[in-house]
Amino acid sequence: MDFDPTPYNIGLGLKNWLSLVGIIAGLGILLGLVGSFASAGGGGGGLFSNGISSFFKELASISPRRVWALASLTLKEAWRRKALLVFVVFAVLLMFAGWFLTDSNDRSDLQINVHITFMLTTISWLILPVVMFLSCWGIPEDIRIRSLHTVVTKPARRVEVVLGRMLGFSIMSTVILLLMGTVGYIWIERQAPKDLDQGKFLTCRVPVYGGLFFLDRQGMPTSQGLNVGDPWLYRSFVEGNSRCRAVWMFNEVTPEKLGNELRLESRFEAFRTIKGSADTIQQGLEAQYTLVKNMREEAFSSFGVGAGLREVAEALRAGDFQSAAELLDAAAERMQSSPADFPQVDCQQVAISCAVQVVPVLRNFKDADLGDVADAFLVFGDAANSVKTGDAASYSELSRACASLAETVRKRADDMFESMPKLEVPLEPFRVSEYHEGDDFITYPRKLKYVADYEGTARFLAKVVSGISEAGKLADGGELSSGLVDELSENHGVSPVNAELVFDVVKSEIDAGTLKVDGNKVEIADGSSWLRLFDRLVREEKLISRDTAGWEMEADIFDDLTVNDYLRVEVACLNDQMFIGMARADLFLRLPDRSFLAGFSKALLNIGLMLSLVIVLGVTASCVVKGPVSFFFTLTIFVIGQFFHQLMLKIVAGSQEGGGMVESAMLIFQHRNPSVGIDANEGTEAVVKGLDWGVNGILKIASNIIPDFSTFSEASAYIENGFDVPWSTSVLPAIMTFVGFLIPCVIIGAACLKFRELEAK
Amino acid sequence: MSTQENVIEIRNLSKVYRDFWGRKKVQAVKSLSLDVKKGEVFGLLGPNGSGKTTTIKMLLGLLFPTSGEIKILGKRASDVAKNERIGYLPEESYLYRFLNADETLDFYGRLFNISAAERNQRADELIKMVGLDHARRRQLKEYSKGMTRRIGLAQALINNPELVLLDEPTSGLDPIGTREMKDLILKLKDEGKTVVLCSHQLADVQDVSDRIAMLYQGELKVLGGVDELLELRGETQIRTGNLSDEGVEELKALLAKHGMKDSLIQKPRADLEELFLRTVRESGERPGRRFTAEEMAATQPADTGKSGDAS
Amino acid sequence: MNNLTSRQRKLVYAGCVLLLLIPIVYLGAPTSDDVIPGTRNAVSGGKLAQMRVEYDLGESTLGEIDPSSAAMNLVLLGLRGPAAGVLHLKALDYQEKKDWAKLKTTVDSIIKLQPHYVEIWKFQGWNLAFNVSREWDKVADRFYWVKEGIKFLQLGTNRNQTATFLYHNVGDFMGRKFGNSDEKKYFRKFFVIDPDDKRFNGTADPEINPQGKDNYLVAHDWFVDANEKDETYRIEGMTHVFARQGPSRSLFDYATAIQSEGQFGEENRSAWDKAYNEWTQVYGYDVFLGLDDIRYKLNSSLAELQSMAKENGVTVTKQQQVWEQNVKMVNYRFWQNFADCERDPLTVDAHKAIYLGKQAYSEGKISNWQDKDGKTQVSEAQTLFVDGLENFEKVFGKYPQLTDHDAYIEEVMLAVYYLEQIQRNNGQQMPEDFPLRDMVIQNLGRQPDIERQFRIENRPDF
Repeated sequence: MDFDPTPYNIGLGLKNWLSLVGIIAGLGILLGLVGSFASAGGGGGGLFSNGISSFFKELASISPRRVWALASLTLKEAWRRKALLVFVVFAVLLMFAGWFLTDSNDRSDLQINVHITFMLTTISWLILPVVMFLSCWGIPEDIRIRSLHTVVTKPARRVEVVLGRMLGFSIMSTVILLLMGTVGYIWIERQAPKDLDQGKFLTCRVPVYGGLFFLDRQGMPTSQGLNVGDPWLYRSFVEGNSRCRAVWMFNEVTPEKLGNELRLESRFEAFRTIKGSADTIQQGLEAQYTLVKNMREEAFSSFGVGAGLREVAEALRAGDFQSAAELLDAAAERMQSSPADFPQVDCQQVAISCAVQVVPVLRNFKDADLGDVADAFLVFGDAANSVKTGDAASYSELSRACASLAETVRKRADDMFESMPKLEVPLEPFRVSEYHEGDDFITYPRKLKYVADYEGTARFLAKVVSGISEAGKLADGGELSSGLVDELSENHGVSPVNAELVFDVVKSEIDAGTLKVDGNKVEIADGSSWLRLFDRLVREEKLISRDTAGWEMEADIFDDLTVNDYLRVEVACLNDQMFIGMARADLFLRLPDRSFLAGFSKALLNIGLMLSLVIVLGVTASCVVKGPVSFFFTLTIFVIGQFFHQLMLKIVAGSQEGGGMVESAMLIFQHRNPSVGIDANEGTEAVVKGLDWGVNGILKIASNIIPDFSTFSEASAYIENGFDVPWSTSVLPAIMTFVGFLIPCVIIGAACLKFRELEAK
Repeated sequence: MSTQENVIEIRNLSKVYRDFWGRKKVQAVKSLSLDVKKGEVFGLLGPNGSGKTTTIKMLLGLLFPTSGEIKILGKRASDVAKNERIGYLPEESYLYRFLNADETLDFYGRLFNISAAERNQRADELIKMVGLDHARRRQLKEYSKGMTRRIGLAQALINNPELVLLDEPTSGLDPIGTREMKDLILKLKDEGKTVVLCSHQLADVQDVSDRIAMLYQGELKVLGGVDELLELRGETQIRTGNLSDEGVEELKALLAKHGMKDSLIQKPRADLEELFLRTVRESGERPGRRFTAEEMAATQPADTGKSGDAS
Repeated sequence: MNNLTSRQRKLVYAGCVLLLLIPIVYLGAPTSDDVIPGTRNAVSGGKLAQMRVEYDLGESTLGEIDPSSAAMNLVLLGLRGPAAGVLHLKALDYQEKKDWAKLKTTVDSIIKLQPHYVEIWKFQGWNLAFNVSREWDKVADRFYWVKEGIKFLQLGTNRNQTATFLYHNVGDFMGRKFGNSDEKKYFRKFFVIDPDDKRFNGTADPEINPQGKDNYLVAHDWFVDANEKDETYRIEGMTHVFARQGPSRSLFDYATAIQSEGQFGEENRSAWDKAYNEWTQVYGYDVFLGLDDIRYKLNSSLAELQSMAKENGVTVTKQQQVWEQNVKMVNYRFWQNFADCERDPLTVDAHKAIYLGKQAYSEGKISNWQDKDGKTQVSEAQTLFVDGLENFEKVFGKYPQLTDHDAYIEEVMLAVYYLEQIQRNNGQQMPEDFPLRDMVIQNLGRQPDIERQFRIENRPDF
């Protein structure tokens, strides 16, 4: 299954709706004016205004009691005319379902999928024809036997008639749906095999999805991974044992939302270029998650494209801001002397990177005020944007901006280094289990142990030691406190051997004079920060862990690893010559499951909304035309909306192969391939294009008017695959679509009914 | 008579049926103008195809006039609010056949926004009034023609309307039903309601109407009060108790003195309706007997059913 | 109007009806016999019923009837073709989107609609066993899907008992797919001990391997069935003389497989023996049609040729010509000799020695050592290799026509190369007159391949 759940944008939807309704209302008024002038000549204006005002008066005086009376009439009619026999058919089908659905799949988790699909499909397809039929024949039949005449000679508004019918049919279909749904639910529960050790198979996962991008073999961010030749382009791949990564960014990662643990579920695909060794052939490929908090990566990951600035970018990312400043200076010079090193295209990229990534990240920085750096980058980015090949002036402008940026970076190097840490916590690798639902589901506790790298060690020690120093426990009477070792190992989780190492190193620094002891305060001789000191020590390899386990530290996922509640998870493949494939929906945070009933009910809700929409359309159509015509009309709209809506959108957007209607027909007749094009001279081609433009216009209108019924059935796909039906992606659009069609349809139906002679022979 | 307000005002009403292409097919109503006053029983007569039903439907808003104006109870025909005070008995009872009598009246009552208690009470009264108490739980599709007309009448009166429009009220009814219908119409008139009825049963219209209009091919041909239209001028009718032969002779002589030579003095006849009703009644009381002519001879003169004019 | 009364007319009608019944019963009476699908026995019943069986037209004559299939076809009211077409497209879509559950269900629905369309069975059986299985990463999962393909074909044979090709296909998959894949080591093991512990408790899946036999042996049984069916319903789409090789080739494959897995001894030898017998006695004595429809048997002595020629009404020369042509085509003599050679205990010993030699080599037993008397003893590996080569020399003495068999040449050259490496390890050179030196010299062109094979076999994680 492939889904890329995107939340529904209410604002956009509302805007579209209003504009469409406005257009239709305008058309309606136009038609009305034309009609009234045509039938009444000069008095048409009066006729029109009378009609409109009486219509709106009617709309304003809707009485719920009358609507309910008409609705219950509809219900009684359906009941007494025995329209509910469909339920009997359903029961019969269920009894024989065993025959048709003989366990095709020995694997129970696959079989559940089939059961749920069968049930939901049967339910919707059984009720649909009944509902369509009834709603299209209700009002025309009423008019034919003239019982509607008796009703409209009572003070029942036309709009109430329309509403009452819609309501009555909707209630009927809802009741049937609930009954069938209950039976279906019980049936599924009973058919579901109980797995002996794992509990039930009827799951209803609640996933939280993130955004996905990839890092290529050089570690540069790209939007897609590698293509291994699979015709289905849903997934792209990362290469094993390389710098390739798949990176997910999850937001709203807070303990309030997730509880006190991190639950990750994945469903990756494996691709081997060799079968594997004797051991690995039997096991799956190894994948590893790494939780990464890397501010520098966040800011500068896209910065240095092109040879000119790449070294600068690498220095920035490595946190080596001093060198970055120097490199910037060098670059500034080169910009003047050999501008060819900085082609316009690269400069554009740099400008985009600054504007889109560097500046916003630096400005929104919460841990320190880097506004001046942000400004410097902004200026630099602007200068890069206005660079033109051959224009020496723009290059010297660029050079100036670059130099000033270098200056700022140099000045703020320490601050930047201090406040832009890199923390990487690799998690235990696991074996990828393809297509086995829920097998790659791992729960991580909130506090994780990990082995720190150089930078991590330096920062940790800087923080700890400076803390101890502030508390005055670092020195004691002009000498290094002997209690330091205990302090470190007991209160800060440092292993005893490492605590001793720290002691030794600090002592040697004191002896060497870089640290000054004064009473019980220890200060750095040249006034730089503790972080600088430890950074230097670590780089000089003086702090290599004596403990074989390395510098083991603990990190808290929510406190230490999230940035503005965002969590970055990198996924790597560990086996050489192997690839792991993923798509956005393949890794998610799993919130505690909801009950299967909840998900199933939401799927039923969607089906109910779909049926109600069909009812609305059917009743509206039947206000305008007679029974059979309205039935075919509604059927056509349903079929197009359900099966061909995507196709329509593709044709309108021009992304469908073969062009428009006329062009495709010509291609078929000429036995030609879409990529070759039609065999015609320019004139004919122009004519064809013109015709297709017209047809496309009609299709565009149609695609806006015809509802997309597939939104409703998508909900079923979620629960079939064991996922909860998401509110914002699935249920909300369904509701909005329904309401969006309800309002105009009621008005159109009521208007047609009102301005129509009921007695016309 | 004081000037009464017009319940219905029709001015220059025309209706042309056009076919799909807009060509004129038939002109059903031509420039009709008439008024119906409050509290009267108005009869609309005419042969088949004269435009009676078309007019009624235009009054109700089921058809749109081609030209002209209609005012009902001061409102336009297309105004739904006027329906609060109108009752309509259609030509064929266009009711929902799967409902029973109770449900039918309940449904229509709800359309008037009448509260539940009041609805039940009125429904009860009306059902008893039209004599359908024994069949109130049966679905309408099982009703005979007469029963359907009666329930139709009941629904027309559910809202206690000021104006009642009856289209062929007595068609399909047996003499008893017809009698009852006519009594009812008169009762409605006593209650101050205005009744417009449309029929070709001339005798029935004659019995109940105050004013009549006659249409022919869409045009108004005759309009006026029944009395003044039907009054045979140039004759005087006298009715009195059983007069002896001498008395008859004396009367003849008196009349001859006034110049009337060929007067007709005879025993008046009751009408067949009377005989019928009596037979039915007596048969109900004494089943199994056949009545002789003498027994059934009328002892009372024909009751013309009109109030007011008997001397 | 005639003058018969109403009653008389009724009698006439009744009489006509009775008269009409006679031809109806004659033509249309159903058969009360149990129709065994895949046979053409005569049955009782009307003419139509008999013709149905004779020409294999009735559904019941083709295979077992599935009631749900019949029901579905009825419900579709003739739209069976389009429905099946739509299902095919959907199945392709599900396969591309890797929606396995729906794929399986859709395929099952397709065969309910068109159970007698043999191409579907062929295609999907192959699709499931080869394409779908490849998509899965775990070997156990791949095995599951190959099984699904085979079970699918088995169902096909059940529904279409006149489609001999399907029987042959099942045998083919059992043998070739399990035995020749890259994962053959695992597949062959799983065939006997299914990886799904929960369902099968450490035994084989009874649906495909009820007796827990080796996959080649089960394949052999299926091929035998296919050949039997072939008698009545000739197999289609394959050259007949190749199609009937199934049973014998399975036995060949079986013997080769257990040999490569390290089983030598009587089990191996008797496997070769059985293969030899199957090839010469059973396959060899099958009657085939050659050029100009001349019948021949592959295993014919001169006397037999003469009698066959007389039977066929052709000259002996012609008979011989046809016979020779086909013997060459199927390489009959080679396989006969090969089996004969392999079943010789000498050959078995030769193979065993070389196999054990390689094992010893990988265990590092390649150095010469001093025994307690101070004499230099040759390493175990060296002894074994020399043993093997000497045995082979004797074998080739007996079967000189097999000296240009690729597999033997490779084995010998590889053994020599191993020996070379051992000698080099001990600081010595290969002696000038090592066994089968001529063979090696003649085939020096293969040396690079041999060296590569050596490297592959001695890769650390092989």
